[in-house]
This record gives sequence, structure tokens and C-alpha cells, in this order.
Amino acid sequence: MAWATSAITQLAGAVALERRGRGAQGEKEGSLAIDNPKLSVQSIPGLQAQLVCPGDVVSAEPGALRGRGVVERADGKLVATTCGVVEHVNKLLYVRPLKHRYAGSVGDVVVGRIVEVQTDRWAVEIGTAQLAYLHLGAIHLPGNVQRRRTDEDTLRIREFFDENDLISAEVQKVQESGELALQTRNSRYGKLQNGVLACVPSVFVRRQAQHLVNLPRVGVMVVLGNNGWVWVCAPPKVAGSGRQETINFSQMDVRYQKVNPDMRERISRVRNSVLCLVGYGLEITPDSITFLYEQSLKLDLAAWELLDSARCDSAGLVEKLVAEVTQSSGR
Amino acid sequence: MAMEVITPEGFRFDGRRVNEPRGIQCCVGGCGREADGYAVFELGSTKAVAYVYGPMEAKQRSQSLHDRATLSCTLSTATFATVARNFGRKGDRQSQERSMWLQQTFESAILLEQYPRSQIRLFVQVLQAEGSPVAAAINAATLALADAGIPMRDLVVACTAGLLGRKPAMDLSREEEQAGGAAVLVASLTGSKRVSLLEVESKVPEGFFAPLYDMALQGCHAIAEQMRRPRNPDIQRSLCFLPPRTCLLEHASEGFSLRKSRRKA
Repeated sequence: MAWATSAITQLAGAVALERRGRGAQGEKEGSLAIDNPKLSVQSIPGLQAQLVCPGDVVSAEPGALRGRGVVERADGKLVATTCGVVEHVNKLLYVRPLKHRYAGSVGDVVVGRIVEVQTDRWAVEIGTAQLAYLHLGAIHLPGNVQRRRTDEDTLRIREFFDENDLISAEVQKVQESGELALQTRNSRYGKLQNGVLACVPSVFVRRQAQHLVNLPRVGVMVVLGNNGWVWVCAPPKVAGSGRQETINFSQMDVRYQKVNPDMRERISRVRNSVLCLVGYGLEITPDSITFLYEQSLKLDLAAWELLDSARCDSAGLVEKLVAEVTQSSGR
Repeated sequence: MAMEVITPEGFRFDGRRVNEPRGIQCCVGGCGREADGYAVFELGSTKAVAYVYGPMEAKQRSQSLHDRATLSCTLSTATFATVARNFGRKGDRQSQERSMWLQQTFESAILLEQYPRSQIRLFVQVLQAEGSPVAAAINAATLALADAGIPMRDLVVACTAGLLGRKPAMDLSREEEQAGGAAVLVASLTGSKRVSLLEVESKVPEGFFAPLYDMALQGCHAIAEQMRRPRNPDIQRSLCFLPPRTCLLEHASEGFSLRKSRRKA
């Protein structure tokens, strides 16, 4: 499985597994010795020398290009500025941080919350250093009408989105000042309803083919925001024949509806699976969520128990995860 | 004359030699999803907890600068941290001044120009003040900033040194601080061997400043070494940044029981 392979090469994942192993050991016998090789980072060759803390000297051959996370000290040595892994790409040298705030790039799908309504735009909190902005001209009008925005639309701005609404959007542009401009010109994007939000660090959600996914075997829809905000909701009803026909999703009819208890239970299980995956440092993809969801059902874990690492441990969920990760990465 | 502070064999009250810091415990990250960075640092029984939020949009427009991030620091001391309990003294002069020290220390270390128009907020609380509380607070703040992934030129590490009798000693405990000898607090960028904070609040006898300063710097390096290096050499060195999660629970339960006891009284 692709998600598992990338998870073990991704350091954050490996380290978190390690941390877990260490924590358990420390409680049991008060020593940090690791006799549980399957949870160890050591199984990844070549990783030892690459981890750095701020202020550590990064070894570099002469002529290396200094990338993100590396600065030159007064004595001419290159030092790391964040905790992370040193990466070389030809001459470029950079440090990939273990954890950082989301910095947008064009085309990312994000989940955000409207914090302010201004005259012709909304300020959206998406977990970046600055607020992102969604202009009135960059949204999709209800009923899929295509027209210029009028003054009337400006007056009715709160009918589209109001403060504290959660929306999904796409990053349209990164301004020179680092400010992000968003757009929801597709009817897939827009207000999010009938679900729950799970906020995780943005490193756990990579760019993938699909960010708005209906999990087929689970029957729940997830919006995997690149900013690490994951929305889990009941799948929207499709008007008409029940099949998606047009590419702009204009048939999708998303509105507030009553979610039945069974669906609620599934939604909360998926949300907790997401948080559980992050707790073990694994990436969030549709595959990984489905795997954990099904395993938790098989092991007879209640949805809330997924958040309790001790219960996950005793039920054998961790072994299953580790087995999956190590097996599919060929070790 | 006060009591003997160093035995003829060269040991202090708590059994350390003059050039030994107290035992260190770090607990970084893992807990507290709300904050971007979180750390607890213990220096002997002195304990400080730090939370970092940001970089994020400034709460007030006036707080943001167009070319770099602003840093706001708050250092407080818990009411139960000291021997004498003092309730309702939030934002007194001492903690305001100490917050200022923290801010100046970290403004020189953090690469603020990478985040224009945003704000980084740092909250440090001393949970137990058993000597050198500010040093512990600075160390906790460094770890929390590192956990939040905020780029820094170097790890900022602080340590105190003071005169015991006529001998300079590293990392004063509360008894030693109260003995009334001269004391200095040094925070340094350990890798580049630069000093970012030097506080001398008492009179230092002539000729003793240099040895005290050197002793504090040595302490900084010793502490930084332990912060970076895990106790077990087999484990990755950066893993000292990823301790078990039980820490916050313990801390929370501690706080809880304290709150209860106060309500009873």
C-alpha cells in the first residue's frame, strides 16, 4: 500500500512509532532500552545522521545551495533552524521540518473557518501565519449561475458565508506578501455541513489525487485539507438520477440534514481513526483511514476507544498497524 | 557568618560539585493539540511549562509589522510555585520584567523575518521555583519553540551561576540563592557561543565576575548537551524531543489536586 510505504520513510511517522515504544518501555521498567525492534527507527538505514535540532551543524560539501531551514552562521558553517531531517537534492540542501505551520501553495485543497466578513471578501482562518482571503468574485453562486457580481451580492454577502462557517476551498494564488487568495468556483467546494472537524498537523496530509473522497467501504465522505484540517461528514445526496453526471458537481445538493445515529457513529469512528493515525505518526489517506476503520471494527473497539492509546495497544491495533506498515514497505 | 555552603571535600548541600548542574528532564510535544508547541523543563525540582501559539494572524492590527513577525512573551509564576503563597498577583512588576527578558532573548534567536505580519505568542509558567526559575523558563520556551517548528538560529539555553562563599558554583538551588551570594543569569546561543541575555541583580565582588560568567556559560553548554542528546545513545538524538505522553497527564492531575486543596482552605 502506498500510504504505508510513504509513512515509514516519512520521518515523522517513524519517530512517532519510536516514541510510542519508548513511552511504553519507560513506564514498565523505567529504562529506555529498546528490545522491541519492530518499533525502532533503527530499521531505517541511513536515517541516523540525518536528524537535526536547531543550531546543529549540517555537514555539506562545498558549493552546496542553502535551502529552507538552513542558515549560515557567522563562522561560515551551515546550521539547521528547525527540528527535522536533512535532505539533499543534487546541490540543494534543506531541512524538512517534523512539524510546522501550513504554508499554502497554489492548487491545495484546504478546509477553513470564516472569521470575518468584509465588504467584498471573507477572511478565512486555515492555520497559516496570516489569514487567507476569499473574494466575492471567487465563489460559486447558488444555483450554478454564471454572472458578474453586483452590488446586491455585496449586500447579501452573509447569505453565502457567515462568520464561523466552515468551508472547503482551493488556494488560487499566493500573493507576494505571503497572503493566500482562495476560490470556491467549483460546487464541490463551499460550506461544510453534517459532519465533524479533525485538526492535525499539516505534515500528515500530503497532496494526493483526490482530496474530497467518498470512502466506499465506510460510507462516509472526508475532505482532506492540505492544511491538516480534515472534515468528516455524511455523503451529500446527488440530485436527479443519483449518479454524478457533470464535472462541476452542480447536482450535488448539500444542505443541513438530520444525520441518523448509525451514520453519526461511523462519522465519529472515522474522525477518531484520523486522530489515532496521527497519534502514531502515520499519513492520512483514504486507504489508511479505511484500513484503520476496518481493523477497529474487527478488533471490536468502540469509536471513543481509538483515542485512548492504552486501549488501542491492548486490543492489538498497534501491532496490526505496524505489521501493515513494515510489511508493505518490504521489511 | 552563614552556614558552611561547601564541604571541605568540595560538595554542596545537595551533593553536587560546583561545576555540576542539577538533573534535567525535558518533556516536549505530544500533548496539547491546541498549542503549536509545548514543553516542560525540569531543572532539579524547579519546573517550568511553556506553550507556543503561532505564527498566526495578530489579534490586533497594531501588533503586526509588515516585514517580520512580532513575538509576545508572558512569564508568570504559579501561586503555588514558591514557599510563600501569593494569590492574585498577576502581572506584577517582577513577572513583567522577566517577560521582557524572555522576549529580548528570543527576538534575537528566532528568524522573525520569515513570517511577516504575523504574531508568535509564547506563554511560560513556572510551576515550581526551587532556584533558577528564569533559567528553567527560558529552557522550556526553547524546547516549545523547537517543537512548534519555529525557525531559530540556535537553541537558546540558560543557566545561573553564583558565589558560594568565595567559590563560583553552577546552577543555584533555592537555598543557595537565598544564602545571599552574588549571582548571574546567562542565556546563550550554544552552538555559536554567543550570549543573548546576561542578568546580574546583585553586587559581584571585584575579580569574581569573569569566573562566574564562565561558570554560567559552561552550565549552558552542559544543559544544551543533555537537551540534545538522549540518555540512551542508541536512540536517535533528536528523539529527546519526543518523550512519553504521560507527562501532561501527571502535570494536569498535579494541578488539579492543588486546585482542590486550595478550595478546601
